[in-house]
Amino acid sequence: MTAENPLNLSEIDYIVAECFHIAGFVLAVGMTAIVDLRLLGLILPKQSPHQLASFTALWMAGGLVVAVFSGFVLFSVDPDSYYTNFTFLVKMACLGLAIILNYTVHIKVVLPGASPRHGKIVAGVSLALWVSIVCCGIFIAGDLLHIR
Amino acid sequence: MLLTLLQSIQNISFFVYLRSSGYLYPIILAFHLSAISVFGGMIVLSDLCLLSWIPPHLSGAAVVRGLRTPKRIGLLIAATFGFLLFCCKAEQYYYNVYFRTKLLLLALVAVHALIFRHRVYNRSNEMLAVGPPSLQARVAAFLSLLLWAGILTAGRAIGYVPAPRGLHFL
Repeated sequence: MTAENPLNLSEIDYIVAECFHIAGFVLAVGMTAIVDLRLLGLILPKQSPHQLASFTALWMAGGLVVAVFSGFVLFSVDPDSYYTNFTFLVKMACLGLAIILNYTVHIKVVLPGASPRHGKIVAGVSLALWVSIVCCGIFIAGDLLHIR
Repeated sequence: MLLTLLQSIQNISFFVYLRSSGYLYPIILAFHLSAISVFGGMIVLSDLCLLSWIPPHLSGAAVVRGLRTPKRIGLLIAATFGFLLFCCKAEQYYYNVYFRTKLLLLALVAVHALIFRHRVYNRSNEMLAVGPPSLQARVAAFLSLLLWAGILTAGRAIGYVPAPRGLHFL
């Protein structure tokens, strides 16, 4: 006997999971964007990137955990359709790259004494990746990145 | 009369084109959500400063002051994309209870700004200079977080209301 996924039975549960997913990624993307915009020299010139990153890191990680966990819950509703959705696979690739970048190169460019030029390049790539993840999330519905 | 106006707006050829395009409407929606994500981070950081939930090495007053203009720019960008989305399906949104809820919450954000702009945000230096934050600053931050969480939730719920029959789309 197979257990029925509760999200398949209740639309409200599905919407609640989606709201957690959105709140989680707004926190993750928003906190990363603050550090990236600072690295680009666009906001908060009086705070160093290192000061901001050391504070936002925990909130970013918390948002990411909520977004990934709720995302997995949403994925569990219909894994086959996600697995065959090209846009979803692109989103997962961008997410993987964004997480690797965030916990490797991004950590180094916010350190005091790091090259501002490298910081700007990394911030640009990081912002592009996180925005791509949000865009892919919207495009999954029609698998818009799958050119037929 | 309002409904007639909304029907006229959604049938302007530019919005008909956006609505009919398989790509443009989702792209505008994606930019709307991306702007909200970036803007949302600034709101949360600003409110955490007002709640003094920040480490001592960060100047809460400087962060609150420094994020005021970027927050306005972020809101303007998110609202512009949101307005484009609305114009594409104005009549459908008119009937949507969650869209109305979202507008009501946005109006409450404006009321929040009117009440707390002079009392808290313009005085963040003295509010956060010494000691714990004032009750006003904490209330402003808490209400701001609550309102924006509500806007996010209502915004997502909009998509779950099926379009009514007989919409006047060209």
